[in-house]
Amino acid sequence: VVLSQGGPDDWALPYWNYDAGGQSNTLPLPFREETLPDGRPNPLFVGQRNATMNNGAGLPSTATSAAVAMGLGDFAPPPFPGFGGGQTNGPRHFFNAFGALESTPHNVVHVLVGGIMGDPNTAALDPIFWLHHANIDRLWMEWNDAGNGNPSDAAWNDQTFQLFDDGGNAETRPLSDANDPIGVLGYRYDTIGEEGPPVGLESMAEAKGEAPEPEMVGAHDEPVSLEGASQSVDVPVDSRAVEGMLEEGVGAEHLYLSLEHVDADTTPRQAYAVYLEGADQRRFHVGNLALFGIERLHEEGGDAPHEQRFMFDVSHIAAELGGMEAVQSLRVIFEKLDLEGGTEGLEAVEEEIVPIRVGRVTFRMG
Amino acid sequence: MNRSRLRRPDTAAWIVVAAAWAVLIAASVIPAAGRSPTLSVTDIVARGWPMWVLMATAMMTPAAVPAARHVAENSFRWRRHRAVLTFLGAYLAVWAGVGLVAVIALAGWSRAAAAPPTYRLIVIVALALALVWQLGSWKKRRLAKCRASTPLAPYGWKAFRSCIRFGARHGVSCVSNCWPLMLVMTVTVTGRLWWMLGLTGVVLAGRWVGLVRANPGIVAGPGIAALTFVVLAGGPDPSAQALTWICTLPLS
Repeated sequence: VVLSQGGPDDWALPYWNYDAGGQSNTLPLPFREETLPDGRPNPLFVGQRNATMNNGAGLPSTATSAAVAMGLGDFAPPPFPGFGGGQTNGPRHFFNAFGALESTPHNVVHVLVGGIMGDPNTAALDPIFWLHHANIDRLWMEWNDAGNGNPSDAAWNDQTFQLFDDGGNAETRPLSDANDPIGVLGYRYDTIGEEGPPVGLESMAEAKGEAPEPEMVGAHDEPVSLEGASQSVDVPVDSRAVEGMLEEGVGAEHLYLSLEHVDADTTPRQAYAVYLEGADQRRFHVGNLALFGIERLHEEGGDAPHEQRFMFDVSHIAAELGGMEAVQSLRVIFEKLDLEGGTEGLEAVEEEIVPIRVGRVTFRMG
Repeated sequence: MNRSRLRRPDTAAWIVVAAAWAVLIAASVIPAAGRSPTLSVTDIVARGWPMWVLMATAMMTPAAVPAARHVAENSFRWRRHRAVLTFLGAYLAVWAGVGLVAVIALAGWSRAAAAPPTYRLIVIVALALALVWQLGSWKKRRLAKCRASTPLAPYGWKAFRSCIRFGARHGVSCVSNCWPLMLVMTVTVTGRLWWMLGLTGVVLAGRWVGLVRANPGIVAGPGIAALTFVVLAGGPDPSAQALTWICTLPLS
């Protein structure tokens, strides 16, 4: 489309690699200037963003790092945390099937850039949307390049999307095209080798079937409302439940932190980093809570009148704290993700805070 | 507790379903007591309501199995079955309340009506209502409500209370979603066990088959076939008067 509009022959869609260090976590300069050098309005500038982002604020590294998602080996291993998320082509009974990459950095960057980027209905009207999504696509290709496969299920591969070519004609493409971006779609990222990811890799999501739900071994019994800068809850671990699981000795290899019944009336402008703290007060970052598009769940015909669930694999943290047998209680800390800088010359504006409701915090083993 | 039992945390719910079906099937092979025109409304309700509750337990508990599983998975293993039974108790109490109202109304009507409509007409009206409901968008909206859940407290009285609350809420959603099916069951007289099996199949498909979950109107097809059968063939006993089943024990 860009070439047909007179763009350079070697034009390619850039990606915004906000996790590359230095100033990469700020909006690229061409997106922050209100006017072009000749004084005309800059079409890449959008006033309806978080004002500090337009003023050069940086995204925090906890929001930009895809390390948690990239460390997961399965695309969709329901109900456990997976790189891409579970099957959603039909109503689900309870809870959801979020993917780790969708959560961080995808959702959290949408929320923190804010404005029209913070609403799935309007996000694509901000030009930075395309660079953000190109980065998510690049991370996906890198994950494939590391030897991880996409789902083999027909429900995945046969899903089609209607797109438009440079002539404005509708073009229907199956999702399976995305299994071979270099061969079929003809593009490659500069962080990927010439050969690209091995084609034909398949995760075993289909063969594994629906795995049993990880078993609850600890729970906080009061809901939490996230509005301020920081909040913490102590979650006791139930020794009877843990001992039962360990005696059984099967399927107790992992410990998960599960934030359940998470909801808000509209997309909150704030996002939270989630930390675990042991008895020795060591603190570990486990992931983020950003409710991009949460209000769409409540729309007519929406799949989920039930609330969302966010699940994090915290086995490595339990191991650091002396193993699951040694863990009697863990503190879960929610800290508001603040942008870095960008306030120079701006008047402080009191933003409307939409509380994030967390119905229950549990630990699960499986 | 072995692993296979853990893999099926909804075991308690299926045991309740199996027990209800066993009683109903056993009751169906015992000769019916016959209709007595001298029975009072109170007598009819005393006989008909327990049967209605049993019927609702057999037919509507499968609809609550995903929720029962949810309860089990969100309770500690040592109070899992207790939690599921508490949830089911509250859920079925809602259906029992609806049944009490329905049976009283029907018993009163069957006693008061000088010339009750024929069996065939009533079944046709009930089935047509069920079909319209199944095909309408309101059914989909109500079905979405059945997927709502509430946080369950982990310990003690709070845990008990939250299971009761979730069961009652799920029961109300389920009644608002499946009432036409139970209406059909309330007015059918002959071949009731087969009706129960067919309608339970509709309920199960709506919960367990992804295609039907997304498009509840699909099960309208078998419903239309059943309606056509009743209209054309007239059923096994077209001259039977409506509502007589609640005057007879056990199933006619």
